[in-house]
Amino acid sequence: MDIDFWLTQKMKRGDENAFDVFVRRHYEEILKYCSYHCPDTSCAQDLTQETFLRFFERLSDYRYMGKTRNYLYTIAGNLCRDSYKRIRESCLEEQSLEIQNSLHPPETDKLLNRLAMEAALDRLPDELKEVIILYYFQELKLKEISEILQIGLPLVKYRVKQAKKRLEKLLREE
Amino acid sequence: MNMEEQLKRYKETRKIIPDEHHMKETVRKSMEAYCRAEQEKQVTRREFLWMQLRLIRKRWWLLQTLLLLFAAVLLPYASDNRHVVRMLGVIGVLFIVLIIPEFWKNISCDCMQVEAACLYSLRQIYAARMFLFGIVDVFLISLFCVIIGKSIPFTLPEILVQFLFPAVAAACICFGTLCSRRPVNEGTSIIFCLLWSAVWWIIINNETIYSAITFPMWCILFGTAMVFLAGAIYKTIYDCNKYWEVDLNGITIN
Repeated sequence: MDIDFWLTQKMKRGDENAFDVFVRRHYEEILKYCSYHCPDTSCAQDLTQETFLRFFERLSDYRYMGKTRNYLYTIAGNLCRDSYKRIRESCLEEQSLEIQNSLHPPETDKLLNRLAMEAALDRLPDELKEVIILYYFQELKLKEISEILQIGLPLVKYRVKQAKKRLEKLLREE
Repeated sequence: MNMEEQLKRYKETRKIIPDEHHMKETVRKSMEAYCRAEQEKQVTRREFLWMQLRLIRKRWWLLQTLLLLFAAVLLPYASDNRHVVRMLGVIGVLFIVLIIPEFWKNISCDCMQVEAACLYSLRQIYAARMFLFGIVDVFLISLFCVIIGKSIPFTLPEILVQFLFPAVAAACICFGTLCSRRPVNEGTSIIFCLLWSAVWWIIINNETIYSAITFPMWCILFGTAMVFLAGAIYKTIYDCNKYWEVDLNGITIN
């Protein structure tokens, strides 16, 4: 039986240590996922925290189906989508300022490339950006992505292919 | 440089390290969110009773109603007063026998451990079920007494002796076996009740014994039975711990 199953059972019984283990087990991964949606660190941290809070608010109704991590991704994905416009406006401004302040000559190329990639990713349609984040940055399997996004496997493959093409085109334009 | 490499490099430039302070805060807030959600889910006493009412099988109440209805229809046609008396005694015992399956359900279905792990204690569940059964049965018996009181020339003390006393004695047997030290199954309890019915039948048919017991004596017997019944119900509710394999502190009960 999966460790998440035991942790869920313990947390339902109010075991404080299990809460700590569970959050630490998934925190980094969800934080990374949120950071790709919102480059600002505090935005990403808030979204990560909100993801866990939403999960725990419904913990007593949660029935273990074998993929707790996928459930967390689904919550985080919904939260990112809900606040996407707000985040995009505020975070991009902060992000540019942050990058401009930290621009030193040897790192200039790297940072410019990063900025170009972020701008290109930002111009991608939401569904294509989502598969890029999940597949390339979070390194999830195509089957897992299809479960998280609740779409068929062929559609995930198609979106990954399309996303790469569109991203390439956008980067050339940049 | 192909697209996949570019994405890989971008990923490398994004160093995301979780902050310990935020992680601890998330753990704390998560526990708070869970506790808050659980507190909001606590139901009121009325909702709890309603929940239990929905869980109880209504077929036993239906059978009790049918039994009393059957008695209320047939009793006025009884030619001899003695027949009426006999019938009332048997009906009283049968009326109580019909509640046995519902109270033994938890033991016979081995659901004690499941109920022990649920949000409410076994004590609360049993108390709620007894309360609900009590309310419905008192209502049914009152209605029955009013109906037969009008159709048969019986006084209240007579109904008390002929119907309520055998019924209360049967209830004493039922709850006495339910809270007994040795686990007794529902079949045994039903047999005990039927044996009591037979004893009652003998008492009623034996004019010497029946006439020897005067009305105050009946009142004393009825009062004793009521006190015993109250004690048995109290013991059943407060002895629920004995059904658990482990106590609340995790120490095995021997």
